Amino acid sequence: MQQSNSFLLSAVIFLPLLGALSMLLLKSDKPRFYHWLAAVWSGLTLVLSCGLLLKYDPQFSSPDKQLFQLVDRLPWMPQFQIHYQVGVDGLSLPMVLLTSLIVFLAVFVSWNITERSRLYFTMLMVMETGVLGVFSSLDLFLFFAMWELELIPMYFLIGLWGGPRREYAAIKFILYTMLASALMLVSFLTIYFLSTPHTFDVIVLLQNQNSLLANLAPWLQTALFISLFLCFAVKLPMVPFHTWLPDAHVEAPTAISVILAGVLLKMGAYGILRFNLGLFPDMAKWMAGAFAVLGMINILYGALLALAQTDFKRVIAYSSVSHMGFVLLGLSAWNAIGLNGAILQMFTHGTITALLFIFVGVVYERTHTRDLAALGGLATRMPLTSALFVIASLASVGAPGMSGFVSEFLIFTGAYGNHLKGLPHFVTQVATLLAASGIILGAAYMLWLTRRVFFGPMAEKWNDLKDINQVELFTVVILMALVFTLGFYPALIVDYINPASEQLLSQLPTEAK
Amino acid sequence: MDFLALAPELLVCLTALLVIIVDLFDNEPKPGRLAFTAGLGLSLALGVLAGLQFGGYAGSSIGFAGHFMPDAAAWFFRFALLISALLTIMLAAPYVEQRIKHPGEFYALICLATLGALFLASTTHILTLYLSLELLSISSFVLVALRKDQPRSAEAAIKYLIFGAVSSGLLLYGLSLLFGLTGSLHYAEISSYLQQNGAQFVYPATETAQSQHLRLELMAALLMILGGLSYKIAAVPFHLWAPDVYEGAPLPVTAFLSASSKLAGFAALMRVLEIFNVQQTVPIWSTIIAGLAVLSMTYGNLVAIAQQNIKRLFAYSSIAHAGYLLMGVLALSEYGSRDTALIGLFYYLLVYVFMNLGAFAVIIYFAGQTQSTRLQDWAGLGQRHPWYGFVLTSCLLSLTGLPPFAGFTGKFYLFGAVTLMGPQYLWLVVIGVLNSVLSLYYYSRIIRVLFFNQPGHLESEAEHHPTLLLASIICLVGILGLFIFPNWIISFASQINSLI
Repeated sequence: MQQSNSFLLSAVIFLPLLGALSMLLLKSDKPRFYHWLAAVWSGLTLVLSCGLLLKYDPQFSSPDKQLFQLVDRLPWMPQFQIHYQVGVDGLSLPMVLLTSLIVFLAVFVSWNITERSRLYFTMLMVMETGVLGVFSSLDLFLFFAMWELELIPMYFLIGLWGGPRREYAAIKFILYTMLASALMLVSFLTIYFLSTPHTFDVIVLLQNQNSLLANLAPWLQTALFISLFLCFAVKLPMVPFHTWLPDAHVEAPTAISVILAGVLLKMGAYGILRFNLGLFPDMAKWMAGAFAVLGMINILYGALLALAQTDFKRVIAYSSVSHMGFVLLGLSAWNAIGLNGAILQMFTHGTITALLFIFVGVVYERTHTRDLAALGGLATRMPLTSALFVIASLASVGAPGMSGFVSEFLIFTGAYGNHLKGLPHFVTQVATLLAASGIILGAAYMLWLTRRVFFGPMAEKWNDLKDINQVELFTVVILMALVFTLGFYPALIVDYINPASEQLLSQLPTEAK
Repeated sequence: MDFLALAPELLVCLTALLVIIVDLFDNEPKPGRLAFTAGLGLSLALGVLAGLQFGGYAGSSIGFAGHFMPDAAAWFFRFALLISALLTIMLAAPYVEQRIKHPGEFYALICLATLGALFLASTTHILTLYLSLELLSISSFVLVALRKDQPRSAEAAIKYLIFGAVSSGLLLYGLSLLFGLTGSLHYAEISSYLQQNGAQFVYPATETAQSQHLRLELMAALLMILGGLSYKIAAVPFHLWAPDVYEGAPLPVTAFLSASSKLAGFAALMRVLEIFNVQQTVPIWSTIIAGLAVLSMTYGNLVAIAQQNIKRLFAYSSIAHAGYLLMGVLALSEYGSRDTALIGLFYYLLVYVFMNLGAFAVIIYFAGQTQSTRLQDWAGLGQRHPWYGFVLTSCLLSLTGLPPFAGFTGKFYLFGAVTLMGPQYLWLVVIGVLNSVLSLYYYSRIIRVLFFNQPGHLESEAEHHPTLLLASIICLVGILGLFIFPNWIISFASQINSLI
């Protein structure tokens, strides 16, 4: 651990909250006033989080094997060992970057929100603080608080600016997540109060997971592991806890779908990596076979459901379910390649799915329908959009040269050559082989989707559609640049990720890695 | 006698008398004059109380013979009770001006009820316990009946009176049994008597019954005392009065009952259970309290889902909150979890005052706007009155236990204290947490109506009443401030060891 108290990271986390406050205080009738305000604040956040990248030293190594840097630590409730403690390592830094980038772009995706824009952007900014806090909290209490902080803005964003069934979707989203986080709260309380010495400090817990948690009864350890996993699995979302996701996506406005798929789902994956694998490495390894099978089910089931949808947005929503399954598969590998792939997949899926949802928004904005039967042949009127969408769908399928290919390749290589023994080894290999067919299904639903939306005969009523506009193009170009850069030169980000995965692996006490 | 220690109580008593005198001799009544008098007196009492603490004055219990115990816990309870009374007066001012014909009675009775609550929270003597409980209860009965133009108000008062009489009879019988068994009225003496002569209160183990059972007399005393006090905190199954009384009472009185009355009830319960903190009785009362907690939480939350009237909804919400707080009371029974439980209880009780009264401030405002307390009449109010909508939303989220509000930290400590009792109580924590999720459903329904639904007919023009606005600001600052700076309560509460 490298403690700095430079408050650079804290500044990144709380800038959006400051932005939200400024929106509450400033009042203006100018159109797009709050849009620009939000763009400025989230842009500042993005710039500062790029500053984090400069300050962060990927080669850093410390004797206690904990790689957290830029740590800020202030006492909060010292009697209970609760601190305000934030910091980043190779796992959380990419997520912090992703969050600030996606939220910045989401501001531009929401350029057409005119109704109650003040409340909208206030909520967006509060949510950004919550999500950034989740990825950088190094204290269980703070982590939980941030985790819940993100819920309420999301509830309002879906419930106020969403589609026709928005209230249903909003309440479903919040109840699912609350129920899951109820499990998390109980687990955290148990970890704190039943382990000695009592601590909420994630760094201390990760360092001493063996001695701290080992004195708990085995059934309690298993229960803790499973309840934490369930909580994060709902957020991931893992089949069969995924049903809130399509509803939330379909009803949410475009920008919120972008954030939901781009960032919020990563919170689940992050939680599994940080807490399930970090605190219970033995048990996670023991369960690796199960992870692989669950991941495989997610990949195939999500892909099959995506094939069956007749709603543009639902196809993308289920493709998210499918792609998050890859993260689970990567976790089961227990080698550096697989873990790197999983973390990279979190990042790439964030960018690619955000891209796809932006296109859904672009089309919906103009046609006011997402029904695939009504769409078709839009390429004649929107040539640039359709060309860009083809590229995006190739990225989603995992075509070489784009970042999705790198992460999926790493995951398959890692999972097939996994370092497990006996039955789990075999199970993971079989699951990997089956999951590989998910790629084919993925290609099928994405290409079919492209054909149904952009090619084929066009209905008369779409004759005066306009092509993608400057603001939309701006968001698309940034994301695509990122997708291609990481596709050709993944080392840019893998250099940051790799130490984190090595560190996770090094927690396994005895066996050879 | 150390009258300085009693100064806040004396001031509250004088305020009550002063309000009556002003009301009597004021020939040209001006709105707000009585509220100002009462508020000033209570603020003075609060100031003196704070001054005593920060001036380093440590009250001594010598001279009161246990009737009044000026310890740290008492200081905290009195602090919270005075804040609660002050906030009640602030949020009541516009309502009383418009709808209550005898404002003098209202303010005087609030002061008298607060006086009863203050003594109830700081006594360690059975006689004073009973007397102060009656002072609080009788004042509350009259307060509930103050809307003389509405039959529901009278009906509620009668219900409250009958239930109150029965349960205070229960309590009194329990207390008299306890006195008969131990020969003392002083908590500490009773407790040490039970401690020393614990063996004589259990049936000796026989060949057929291996386990030692508590003797019927002590068991009956314990059960009746618990029953009598559970009525005050509205725990299931002693809650039956709550929904009707909350609905029938004038709104500020509902607010007062849900905050001050409950707070005083918990203070008394915590102290009384200290008597029974002996080896023979702990297993019995902890089982009962755990049962009451589960019943109150689950019943309160489940029934609240179906409510259409905001007052009834808050009645059930307050029943559910009694359940959460009882979890903390349960954790008082074990040495290991006791400190955390005390911190959790003190913290949550204070936060509960802020969040509940904050919610009621907005409810009074909205009810004034729409002339209705039915939820469906409130559609879109949050959009029309953004500040009050924001405060109510914050209070509701805090009641649910979501950050960044202090209700979250409070629940965290309460649940944490129960976790600390060991894995055998984890099921209770799980039930508590699941209940929080359940409560989110109906609290968020209010938020939904306020913000998601389109506003219906145009209401009367918004009128900002300064005290109401101030009360809502104080409550919001309270729930946010206690979340960010919880430390002073924690360090204050961690000095407290014994409650008697």
